[in-house]
Amino acid sequence: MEERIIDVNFGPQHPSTHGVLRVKVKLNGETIVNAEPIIGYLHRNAEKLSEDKFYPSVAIFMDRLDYVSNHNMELGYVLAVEKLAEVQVPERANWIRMMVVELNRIASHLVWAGTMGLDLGMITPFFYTFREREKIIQLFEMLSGARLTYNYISIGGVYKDIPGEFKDKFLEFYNEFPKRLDEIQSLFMENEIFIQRMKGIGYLSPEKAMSYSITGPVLRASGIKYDIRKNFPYLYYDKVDFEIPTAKDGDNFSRFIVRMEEMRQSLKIAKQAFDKMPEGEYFNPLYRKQGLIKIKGKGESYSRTESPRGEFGVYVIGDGTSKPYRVRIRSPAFHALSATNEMVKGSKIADMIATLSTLDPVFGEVDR
Amino acid sequence: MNTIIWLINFILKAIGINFAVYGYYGQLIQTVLVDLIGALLIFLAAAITIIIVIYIFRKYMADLQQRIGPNRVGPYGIFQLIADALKMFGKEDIIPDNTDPLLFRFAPYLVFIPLILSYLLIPYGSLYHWLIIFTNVKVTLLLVLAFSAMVPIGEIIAGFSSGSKYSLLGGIRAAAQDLSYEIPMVLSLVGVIIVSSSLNLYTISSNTIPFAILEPIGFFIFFIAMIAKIAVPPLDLPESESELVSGFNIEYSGLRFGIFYLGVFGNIFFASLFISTVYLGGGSDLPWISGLGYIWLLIKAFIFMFIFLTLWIALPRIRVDKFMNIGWRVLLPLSIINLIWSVGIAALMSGVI
Repeated sequence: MEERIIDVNFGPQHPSTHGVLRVKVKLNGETIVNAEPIIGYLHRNAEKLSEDKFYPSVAIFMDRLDYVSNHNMELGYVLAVEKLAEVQVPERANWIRMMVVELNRIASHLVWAGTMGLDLGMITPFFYTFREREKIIQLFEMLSGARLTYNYISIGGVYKDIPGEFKDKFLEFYNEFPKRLDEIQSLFMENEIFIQRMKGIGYLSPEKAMSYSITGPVLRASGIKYDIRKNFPYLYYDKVDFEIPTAKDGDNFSRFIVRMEEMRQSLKIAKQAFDKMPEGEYFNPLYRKQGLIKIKGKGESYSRTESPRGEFGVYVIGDGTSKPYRVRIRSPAFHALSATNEMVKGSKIADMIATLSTLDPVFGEVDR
Repeated sequence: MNTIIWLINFILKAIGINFAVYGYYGQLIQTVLVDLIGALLIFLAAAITIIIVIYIFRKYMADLQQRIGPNRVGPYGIFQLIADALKMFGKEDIIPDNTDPLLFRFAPYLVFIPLILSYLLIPYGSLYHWLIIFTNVKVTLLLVLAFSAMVPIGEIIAGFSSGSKYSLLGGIRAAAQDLSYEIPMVLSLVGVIIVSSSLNLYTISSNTIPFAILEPIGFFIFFIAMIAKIAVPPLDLPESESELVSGFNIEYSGLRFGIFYLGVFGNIFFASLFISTVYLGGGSDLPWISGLGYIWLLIKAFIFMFIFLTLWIALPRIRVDKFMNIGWRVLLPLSIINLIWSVGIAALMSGVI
């Protein structure tokens, strides 16, 4: 029979592209001959806009980069600016940062787990994961007053101290979440169809993962134990006890397992951070007096943090004024997406959707 | 036998409509009139059933997903579907440029009409001392198969005439799925036909031992084939929302989409009725209570419906090639084994061995 190749556009408007990814797919029947991801539909010019804003104001662009794990984005930028302008941060603030960042990682992975279920045609786990995420969001709401764009982590500390009622809610969440997570995980793992859809699909070898400079859970699922929190500790990650979960198969199922385990570890870190938090200032008193707007930086600095999607890097150049000369963002999901074709070539359409969902791209951050 | 037909006739005569007194043609007109009223009644009953099924589905799904479900229109949201239907009527009926307009318009009816017609063929069993059976020709089983075979054709036509690549893929998948389940389904029914030596659903359903016990393999194959036939997750390959957006019905809007939507739920309930009629005794009475067959049938059908809906809610979608593998490499050999098994049972029952 004659082979007929048809071109199909998946996206930018499509139920399972996690935003506005467009994948130009060449199909031979159901089999993918070539898949080319095309990005840029959510480009909001965050890097260039940053050059015209004062240092503290740039944080709001960071908030809107990865809108699923906003705290992580803020942290990356704030750490870079603090290094550049040599801002001192009180100890309590750093512990609070660690706690919210890890809670946010859980929230982000929960969104991922739910939407991955949707991509496979499972509608129900989505509601279970979002129910748990809602609890985290309510915790954040208590801290910052916002549900999505928190703008909480600030240069010199955090904007507000932890309110009194936070403790009970947090402990309630801490006690209940492991049970709920087991429930959610069993919804997936005890399902033969799910395992068939995930095992051995979307294989990414460790060498390929490294050559595409993929980081985060996707890399760790390929068997490479690389995590910025362990390898290049920032905040107080060297003072807490946690594991880096890895898997060796490099397929969709490994990525699922790694993320599920990461949620458990994140909860552990958040609890430790909550316990070790000393009393004291949550914001550098110097800047409360003189205002953040007077921060000036000269030179350059780069901060690398482990966002839920991998290594999130922010490179800031200051020219001695109160506005950054250049802000450059390294997006982890961008690198993961670049390996799409490698992973899905020769597989079926349904597998491509599953593979894309395990890469967990968020387009606010990919397109910047 | 046809108590309902007799009843309609009786009521018509009672209110003074009786053409039968005007000779041969009068009798013909009377028969057609009575049949038309009967068909209309079953159509209404089917439509109401579909609406009830959709309401139950939405509430049940909401319950499993920790939501509330429809609760605004009417008490407990029972009139939500009427509101939805009105909305559907009000929508613009869009026919895209690069469609084949005739086929595009025709396809939804090809899906829906056979479905409603097949509701006419089920023997609904006894209620009090009436037997609710509309059609009792000798080959109702064959007719049901013929009608159910028309549904995928409607889906394929819808997919190919829409002029969209997603719907084209959906149409191809509908064809692939159809081929994978229909042959095992028919072969497993052949087993039933051999044992009961009848093509009539009423005779089959009033078999003393239900066929689910006589032919467990056939029952299993038929159950999976029914999931594939109603095309809901895990086997909603023609639609596959996450991959093909909406599959074969992607370009449909307004009333035509509504017909497809009703078709899905109509199919679910019909499949439940069909499987309980063929394999679980359907509307036949229990030996010690008579006159409640209709209720038994409904109970069995609702149990199956809830099984189908739970599968829909809980399971992810099987990949299309995996399902074809299951169809051709597992179900087909199994159905041939089932065929041999049935021949053995038939021989045993007729006393040959």
